[in-house]
Amino acid sequence: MSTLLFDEPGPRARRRIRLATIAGVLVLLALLALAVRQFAANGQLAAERWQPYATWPMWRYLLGGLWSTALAAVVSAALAMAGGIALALGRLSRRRWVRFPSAAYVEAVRTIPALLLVYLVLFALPRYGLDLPLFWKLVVPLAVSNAAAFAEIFRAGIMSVERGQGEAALALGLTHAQSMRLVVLPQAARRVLPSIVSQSVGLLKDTSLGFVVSYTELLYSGKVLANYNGLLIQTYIVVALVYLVVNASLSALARFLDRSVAGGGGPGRRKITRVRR
Amino acid sequence: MSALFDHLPELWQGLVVTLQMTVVSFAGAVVVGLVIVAMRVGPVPVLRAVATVYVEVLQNLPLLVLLVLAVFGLPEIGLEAGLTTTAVVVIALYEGAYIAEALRSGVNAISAGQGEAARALGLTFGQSLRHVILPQALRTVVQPIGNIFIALTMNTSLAAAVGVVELTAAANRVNLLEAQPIPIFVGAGLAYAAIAACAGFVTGRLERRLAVAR
Amino acid sequence: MVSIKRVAAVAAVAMAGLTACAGTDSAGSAVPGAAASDGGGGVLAKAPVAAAADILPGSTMEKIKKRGELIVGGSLDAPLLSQQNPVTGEVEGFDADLGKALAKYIIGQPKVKIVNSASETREALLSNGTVDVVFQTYTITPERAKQVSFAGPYYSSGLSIAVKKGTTGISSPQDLNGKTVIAGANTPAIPAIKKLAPQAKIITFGGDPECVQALEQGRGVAYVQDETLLAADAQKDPQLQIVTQPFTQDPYGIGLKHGDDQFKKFVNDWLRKIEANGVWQDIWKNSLGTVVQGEPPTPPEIGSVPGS
Repeated sequence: MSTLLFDEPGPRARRRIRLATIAGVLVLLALLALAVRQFAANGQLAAERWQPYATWPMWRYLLGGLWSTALAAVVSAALAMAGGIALALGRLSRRRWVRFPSAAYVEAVRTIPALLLVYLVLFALPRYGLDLPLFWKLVVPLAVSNAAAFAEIFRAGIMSVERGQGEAALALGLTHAQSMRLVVLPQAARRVLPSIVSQSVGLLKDTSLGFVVSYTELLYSGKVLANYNGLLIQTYIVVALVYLVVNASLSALARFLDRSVAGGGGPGRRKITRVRR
Repeated sequence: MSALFDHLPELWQGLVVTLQMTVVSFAGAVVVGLVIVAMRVGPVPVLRAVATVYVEVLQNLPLLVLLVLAVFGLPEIGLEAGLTTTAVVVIALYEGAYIAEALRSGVNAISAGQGEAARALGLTFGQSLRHVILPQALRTVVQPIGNIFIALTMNTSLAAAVGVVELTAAANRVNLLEAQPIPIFVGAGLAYAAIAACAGFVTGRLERRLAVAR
Repeated sequence: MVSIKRVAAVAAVAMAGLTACAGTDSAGSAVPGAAASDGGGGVLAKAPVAAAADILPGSTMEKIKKRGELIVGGSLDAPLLSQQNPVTGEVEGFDADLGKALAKYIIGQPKVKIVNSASETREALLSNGTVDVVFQTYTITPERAKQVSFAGPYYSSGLSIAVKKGTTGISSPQDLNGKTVIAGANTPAIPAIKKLAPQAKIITFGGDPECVQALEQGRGVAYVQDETLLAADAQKDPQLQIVTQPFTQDPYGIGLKHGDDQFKKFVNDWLRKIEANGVWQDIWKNSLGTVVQGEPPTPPEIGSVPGS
């Protein structure tokens, strides 16, 4: 699509682009060098400020946090996806008493910050006698709020499957449930796989709310370390890099799945954007 | 409940800050998103690469980490701005990446014939983007962008961690004094939900108005 | 189609495996290695153990003893008070060691599990029984005493002011009027500044290192924080200068479930014992005493403040 918007640049345009590119890159590099120099002048590059992150105990601690992050993310993603499929099917149901509550759930939960749900599970539920273990105090609100997001992704996926598919299945004598399960859902799931992965990346980032319920995930572990060694900037740079590597790998996985599983997009395939982080 | 009403002025002040931050950073995010998406579908390879890396990096970092790094790290490289300003800029840059992705999927959803027709009429790249592609792309992404707006509103609460006294920080301070978490946080949560509900209403209306019968 | 099935199967297996792990590790936030491993050595060697007769049947103490572990609401990121050492996994500091000493008194071993709690969640954690006690610079106030019971006070601290070296014109809290002041989010510094310097503009940050960094970068002219924390910061960072004596009295209490008078009396008895036999003083020397000059202060009188 994008290549349809402009001519393949000719020799002169190509030369201009190349010159502008070189100039731009040089300016960027100069700015970067200036920033690094200033950073070093403020002592932030001093070896002793980075040395702790060349030692195993610090990394062991951070990786422990990363493990907790992954655990919370995986469990809440599994729950949220199951809930999301149920809600999506509910919203597309022909029965009004199923359709209405599903739609209400999705629309209501989408407008409530996950942080508020965390607070509710933390403060309100115990007063009604429901006191969850700490791990679930993070996982339940994340699952509840992400279920709404996953529901929207699945719904978009189901709606993107051509009506003819469902009709053909019915014509073959499958029941409505069978045609959903055997024909429509498999195609829908394949199409929304990339959105599901990117939503899961968002969920992984959301686990940083764990610091509210005192769940020592990656970000909170970073905070404990910063308090221990007083190296605020260095610690957060390291934490940021860990997040970046993990999430970028997941995104790469999403692209890989997009290409290999979805088969590069057949006719009538529509791209579906992520719904929410 | 009195804990909530005794401190209404502080909470109101916090809500005002939240609203200001939301509006300004959303405006910024839209501008960033448009620039990035133009770079991403444009003819210059380096700009395409830069835009791709930009989206990739910003979408894969938690906003809180970015905020702390910007507030405490940037002064160390000689860039210093006020706390609220820094927070607004960071949120705009962060959400801009999401808006760029939403717009790009909107651009991808437009049939190729539109681009060909624009070119056939002799429009340049910028003109076809401005007059043909983006207006149609915007129409298909009203809902996703509305969702980004809602997420952005929620995300302004993270600015509390870097010293901005917005709604969440104000609620926190009141709770510290009163130790009445349920009414205070539920009250604050309802305010967020109200903002989100307004956004949902507006996007719903917009979508219906812009809808094209296909 | 085959490849999709395989991917889905692998994902399902992976998820099932991880979920199973989550099941066995449901106390996921419990700090690994937070339980004391020194077996009561060091400062806790002299710490007393309660007579069997003091562990009344049906009491909270008995419940804790049967469990074999004291669950403490505390912090992992409060240097000198309750800070996790990432190398050993131990939680160290004044509050943390007192928690271990109380565990030894009840159980016979300093076995604690620290549940990391935030100041917003402490009341809830106590009232729903997630934690047995809270040791977390928990200032006793009459308002809080409506929701939790306080044993102690076990320590009296105060707020002080630090500035960047070379700053002039700040020698008392009143001098903060009209200036930008840095404080930790959710610390007693905020109401104190509001009271003593109503015209000060307060900006807050999540943690102590953030506040120090903000002070150094000139985001505010002064940093109001507990005197001991400031002393620790000033020791680490030569740019910091403490310019006042403590100007508030914050009596720290041990948070207990509201209305559990039996347990409160038991904890107060323990506190009297360790204050009398020098364990309290040893714990102080080993933590706060490493940055504050001089002999350990006299502990505040138990029950001496409203709310305790």
